[in-house]
This record gives sequence, C-alpha cells and structure tokens, in this order.
Amino acid sequence: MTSDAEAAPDAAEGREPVLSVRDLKKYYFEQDSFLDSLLRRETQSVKAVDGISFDIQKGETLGLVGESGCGKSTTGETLLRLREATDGAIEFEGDDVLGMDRDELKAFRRRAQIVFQDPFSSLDPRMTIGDILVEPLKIHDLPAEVPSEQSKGEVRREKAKDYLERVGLSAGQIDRYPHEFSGGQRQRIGIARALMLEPEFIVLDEPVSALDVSVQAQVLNLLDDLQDEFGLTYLFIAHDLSVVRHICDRVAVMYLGNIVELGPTDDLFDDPKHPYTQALLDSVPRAAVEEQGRRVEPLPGDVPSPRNPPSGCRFRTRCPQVIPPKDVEIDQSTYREVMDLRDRIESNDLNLDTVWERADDENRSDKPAFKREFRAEFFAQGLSGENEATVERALDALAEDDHDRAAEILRERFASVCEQVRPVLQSGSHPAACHLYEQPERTEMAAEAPADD
Amino acid sequence: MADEILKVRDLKTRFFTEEGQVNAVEGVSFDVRDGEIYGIVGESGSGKSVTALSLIDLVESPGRVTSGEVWYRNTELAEEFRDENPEAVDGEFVDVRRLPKGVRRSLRGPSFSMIFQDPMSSFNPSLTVGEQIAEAVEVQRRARANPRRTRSRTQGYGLGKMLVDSLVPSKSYVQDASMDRAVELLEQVGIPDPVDRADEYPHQFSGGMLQRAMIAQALAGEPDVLVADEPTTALDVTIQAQILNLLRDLQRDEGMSVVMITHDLGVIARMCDRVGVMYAGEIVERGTLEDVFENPVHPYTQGLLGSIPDLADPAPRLQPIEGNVPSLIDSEMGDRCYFADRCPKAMEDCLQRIPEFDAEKAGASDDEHRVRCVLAERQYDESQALHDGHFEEQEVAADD
Ligand code: SF4
Ligand code: SF4
Repeated sequence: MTSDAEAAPDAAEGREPVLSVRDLKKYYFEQDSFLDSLLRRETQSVKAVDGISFDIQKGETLGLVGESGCGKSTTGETLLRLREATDGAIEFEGDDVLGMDRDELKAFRRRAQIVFQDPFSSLDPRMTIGDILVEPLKIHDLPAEVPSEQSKGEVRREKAKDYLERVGLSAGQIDRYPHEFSGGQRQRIGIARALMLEPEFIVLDEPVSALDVSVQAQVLNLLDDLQDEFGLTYLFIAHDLSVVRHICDRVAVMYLGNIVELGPTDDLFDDPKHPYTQALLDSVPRAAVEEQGRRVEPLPGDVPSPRNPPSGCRFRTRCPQVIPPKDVEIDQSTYREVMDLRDRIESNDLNLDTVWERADDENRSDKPAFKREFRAEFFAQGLSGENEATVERALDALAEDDHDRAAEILRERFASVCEQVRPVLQSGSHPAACHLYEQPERTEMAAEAPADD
Repeated sequence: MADEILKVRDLKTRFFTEEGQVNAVEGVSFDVRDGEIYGIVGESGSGKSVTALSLIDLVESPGRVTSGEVWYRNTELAEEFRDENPEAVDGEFVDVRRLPKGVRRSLRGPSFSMIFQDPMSSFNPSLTVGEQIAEAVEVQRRARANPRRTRSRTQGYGLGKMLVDSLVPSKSYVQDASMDRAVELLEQVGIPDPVDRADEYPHQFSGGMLQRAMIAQALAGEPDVLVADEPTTALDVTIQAQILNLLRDLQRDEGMSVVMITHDLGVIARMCDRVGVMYAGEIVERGTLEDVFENPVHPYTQGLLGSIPDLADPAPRLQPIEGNVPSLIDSEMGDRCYFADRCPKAMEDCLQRIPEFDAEKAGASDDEHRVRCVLAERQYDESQALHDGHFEEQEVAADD
C-alpha cells in the first residue's frame, strides 16, 4: 500500500452527505412493440424507480438491495445521469446533478464513477489493458500538466501501471488483452479503470455477482482495501444479501421502485422491520448445517408488473401482514386469502369457466356448487359472521358474472389502509415504509384509487 | 438404511477441442440412495454440470463420456440383459453405459430426468406449455410400450431446432388424455389456474412459473432420479425459496432421488443429506452435510467455506482462495494434486501424484467422509510447506 494515499475519513465522523437523493423517479415510456399493437394493448409507463430518497455519507458504503426489477440498477445509473431522471433532485457535494450542463456533467463524471457486473462486456476486446485504463484520462485530457522530461502518454501509462498494481495485478500485464484474463482479473481491471480519474464516489453495480465465490471474496477484500486507501464512498448495488451484510455500513431495501426500509447494516439484518425485508432475509439459504431441512414460508406469487403497480403499499399484494380494517375481526391468514381473492377479481385474472367446470354444471345454474368450488380454492379455513356474509354476497355476484360488483362488495368491507395510503419512510436512523409502524401525519391524505382496471 | 439407486464409478468425460483435450470430468464416483437429495457443489469449470449431463447421456460433441460406469438399480432391465449382455448386469443393477443406445435413451423420462438453470432453453417457444408437457407424457407412454424407440420434439431442445421450429410452425398432435395429465402436473407443481396456463406460451410465464413448468415436464415420466442442475440460480431469492420447497415436497411425495447440482453452498445446506465437492473435474471431498460443512479436511473445501460471507455472522474479513481455477486441458494438468498451485498447505508430496480416495473400490460402501488430499491421512506440518512463490518460479522457468 502506498503511503501518499489520502487517509480515509472515519465513516462515523463524516456527517455531511456526499450524495443526497430526493424523491427520485425514473419512468420508461416504452415504444409500442409489435405485440402491443397486435393485442391492442395500451402502452403504459414502467415505473422503474418511483420516488426514492436517501443520503450517502462521506466514506461509507450504502447497500442497495432487492430482487430483479426492483429498480436498484436503474437508480445507480440515474444517479450518474447515464439515464435521465423523470423527476426528483440529486445533489452531489451540494451541486445540483440534474441541472448540470455538459461541461459540469463532464467534471461530475470525473468524481463519480461506476463499475458494472460483467467485466467482460464493459471492456473493449480489441484494446490492450493499457489502452483501456488510459482512455478516461484522454477523454478528460488529464493530467493537466506534466513534468517537462515526460510526455502525457508516458505519464498516463505510468499511472496505469501503478493502478494495475494497486488492484492486485502486475504492471507487466499492461500490454495484454482482456480475453487473456480470468473473470476476477477482469473485474480488477474494471475497478482500476474506475479509479484512474481518482473519483470520490463509485457506484458498484453487482460487482461480484458474476464471479465464483472464491474469487468474489478476493474482489470484496480488494474493494474494502481501496476504500480505506482512497477514502472512497460506495453505493453497492447487489441482490446477494450475505455479500451486502459483509461489505455495507448501511442498507436500503428496494421493492418495486420504492425503498421500503433503510438502516445501519446490523440493525437491519438483526431486526428487520418491513415484512418484505423479513421475507427476503428468511429466504436466503445459509451455508451452515443448521440450514438443513429448514422450511421457509415463502412469499406467494411473483412481483407485480411495474407498469401497473399496486396502489398504496407496493408490497400489499404479497404481504403476509397486510392490515385489516380496524372494525373487522378476522385472522391474519384468512384476511390474506380475502385480499388474494379481491386482487384476482380486480386484476381480471380469474377464470370462472374452470370453476363452473369443476362444479360440473354446464348451464351455470348450480350456484351452491360453484361457491363451494370457489371456497375450496381460496380459503383454507371457513369464515364466520359478517366476514362470511360478505364473501357469500361477493361469490353470488361472481356466480352472476358480475366481477365489478363482487370486487366492490369485498372492497367495502375489507379495504386496507395498506392499499389506500402509500407508506413512507419515517425520519430516524432505521425507518420502514409500512403501516405497521407509525407513519408521519399528512396534511392531505394521499389517498389513491384502488387499481381496479 | 436406504438402498442405492445409482452408483457412479470413475466417470470420465472429455471434450476434444482445438486447444486440446479437456478433462471436464476426471474420474468421478458417488452413490445416490433411494429418496435422498445428493448434492454436488463446485465453482464454474469444476465439471459439475458436465457430470450431470454425463449421467443422463446428454453430452454433446465435441464432448464424450470416455469411460466409467453408471450402475442403475432396475430389476426389469437387469433381467432383460442378464443373458444378452452379462457385463452390463450386476445383481439388480445395470450399467447404463453398456446398454444399447436406444434403451439408454428410453431411460430419459421414466428413469432419469433433468431440469436446468434456464427453463427458456428447454421449452419450444412456438408451442404452448401444456402441449409440451403433454408431449412429454406421450413420449413416456410410448417409451413404456416400446422402450427401444422414442423421439420427442422437446427433449434436448437446442438452438438449431428452435430455428427450424420458428420457420415451420408445428402442429399440435397431443391427445386429450395427455393434455389432462399435463394440467394435473402443472397443478402439482403449484401453478394457479393450470387449465388456462396450459394454453399459454413459454414467454407468457414468469421465470419462477416457467421453472415450475419445467419441473412438471420432468415429472411426466415419473422418474426415479431427477438431476437438477442449478435449478434456482437464475431466480430471485424469494422465488428460489418457493422452488426449493416444491422440489423437497415432490421428492418426498414421489419418493424420487434428486441429484442437486449447484454452486450455492446455502442451497446444498438446506436441501441435501450428503454432498460431494468438485474441483477441476474431481470430487475432492464427500460425506454427510455435517462432515463436509463442519469438519472439512480438503483445503479447497475449507477455502470455499471461508470465502462466503455468512448472513448471520459477518466476519470482518473474508479468507479467499488465492489464484484462479486451473486449466483442464489434459496436457497442462500434470500428475499432481490439481489444487496444489492454489493450496496454502501444498507440500512436496502433493506434487508427486494425483491424490486418490483411500481404499476405494466399486461397490464399497460410500458412507465415510472421504477426501482426495494427502492430508486425509496425516496432520499438516508447516515445516513441509512449499516456499512462497514456488509455482511462479516454475512458470517463469517454463516460459523461458
Ligand atoms: S404497509 Fe401493509 S401491506 Fe405494506 S408491508 Fe406494511 S403491512 Fe404489509
Ligand atoms: S494434496 Fe496437497 S496440494 Fe492438494 S489439497 Fe491436499 S494439501 Fe493441498
């Protein structure tokens, strides 16, 4: 390790945020595809990132985790303006990133870099490692001044050699081509390239996901060392929770374009608050004997489409703890079943033909049989009292093929706060966007219409 | 104790490429018992997936299974071939590799079935999911009626065929009874509205749903052994949890045996009873989950376990294995422990020969914790370690 490196500021002391994100949105408006026009589908915006806010402190590693399609990579790219934000504000060291003009943006990109998952695809196969490393310096016409006895080219090449060594490769490899390196070595090259401009902030987008575990560990250790050596601030985007726990100081969990929970790593892993975070952590198989035969209660179904995300809490269609109305007494799992039935009706994803078929009734007159079949499919246990009566009325409506009325009957009694009000992150060090935890008072209730189309 | 359903002995698979002969699987042996989930874990290039393909005879040119035995317990086949081909029969077992090709192929489905990481590649995009599963059902029926002649449009689906199929749309010719069975299978693997979903095309399924559909297809023949090659690697962790539960339930309900092949030690830990660790085409350590995870002896196994961050217990620093996966090109492999150049405990003795499992013979009980390493029989003694840089010097010498 070189001694002239900047000392890393203590992450705990660094109070001023390097980066500050407020209500960031990134929507994609897709072109009509051939299939869309064929099916006469209306094109809608894809709400990849839908109003997220967070700060990153100097010298810390903030983890951004979530499953595919949650918007974590889009967030990283939008922060660096590799994609244009739809709305919101991003401040980098006090500068307004979204308002930067071309020159300012160029200067910003010197200070904020990105490393991608696939080191091979981000390296040009026809360039030598030396060319690859020197390229960013050329683009920025750096260094500004050189000692008289050396050319710019020489200085740049020296620096490339230096950085190769710093990432654990040897200076002698500078004239080789990417294909001569293993995956782990190529990722080291990708990291060296990001470091050449001496940035303060690096977005690491799944930097170890493509690597084998033995090599992944080498690269994680390297990232740790470089952070100390250069005083770097990282945004670490990943889906692997074990890796995130290992390397991050704080973690933000994303689901369907929202941050649902944010907190110091140990707090979040030891005491996850949001039902999604809980399910996510519970799902991870641990490499330990105690894991043997462990049965996870998995989340049902798939993540809904970001084209038409659920109203209110984005997680409510799968949440095992979705909150029943105060005046309705119902056990939690039955309430989940009622909500599943409602979701299916409202999203038009219910085929009554098959239910009638199973009821063995071609003229569709044996309603009791129809309702029996329905109950068998949706409810593990019987309902009772007013709950039962409401479901009965809804099934009657379905038996008459009146989906809208069925949905309305269920909605009237069973509407949840989770679908009406979008929960937000509270202030404090470990907030969770969920109605199970106290939500800030709002002047105008941001009630959203339930998605019934 | 449960009986063995499969006994794999000294299996070798090689690829004959322009760069030379690649020893992808280098003498692999293990047993799979009735109703167990046997795990094979390794990193990329360890030969674990080629082992899977070799088991069910799906290795494609330029690769070939060059030697070894795959003993499969099947009394009917044993009777059938006892006179005709006594070499291929041992008690209730037949050596699948010595059976005629047609018979071997007919075992795919009713005896062995396989699921892959990427379900998209094993479905034909121009046929509905239901049709393809129904077809698998029909293939199995025909196979039962006439084991020597089977063909299918969906088995071993490859890019070439995909092209042909997209140019020449196929016509459906499955019978109603097979379609009904397909719907049943879809229901069994937890697909809601199976009747409707059966009429959809693969691209209309989410990744997790398509994985379920592939499992349904694999179950069509009610296989004795299901080989699952990285079945959850492409899936998100919450969907992975669903699929792992499903596999465990099916394995128990159907009484199948499963060979679970993965790079993920966590998946192995949750699912498997016994496990083999592969490195450079060999199983280097095997035993019960406890043997391998709690008392690993092989330095590679130790290194692998030291490399992964633990969700519950974040170690301050990981202990990676230095270096990279070795070349499997025959001419470069040499007669020494293949792990030697990365092994922190390598000694002079490790360079003399390829370490073997001790006292191993075909048919011997496979119960013990076994390790392919000179340290299996003695304590590590630091004074015998090769000096730092031993292998770099060799490389330099070789370059000159
Ligand atoms: S707000 Fe409601 S639906 Fe959303 S996570 Fe909390 S309890 Fe579940
Ligand atoms: S045989 Fe030697 S080099 Fe190979 S793993 Fe054992 S100790 Fe290491």
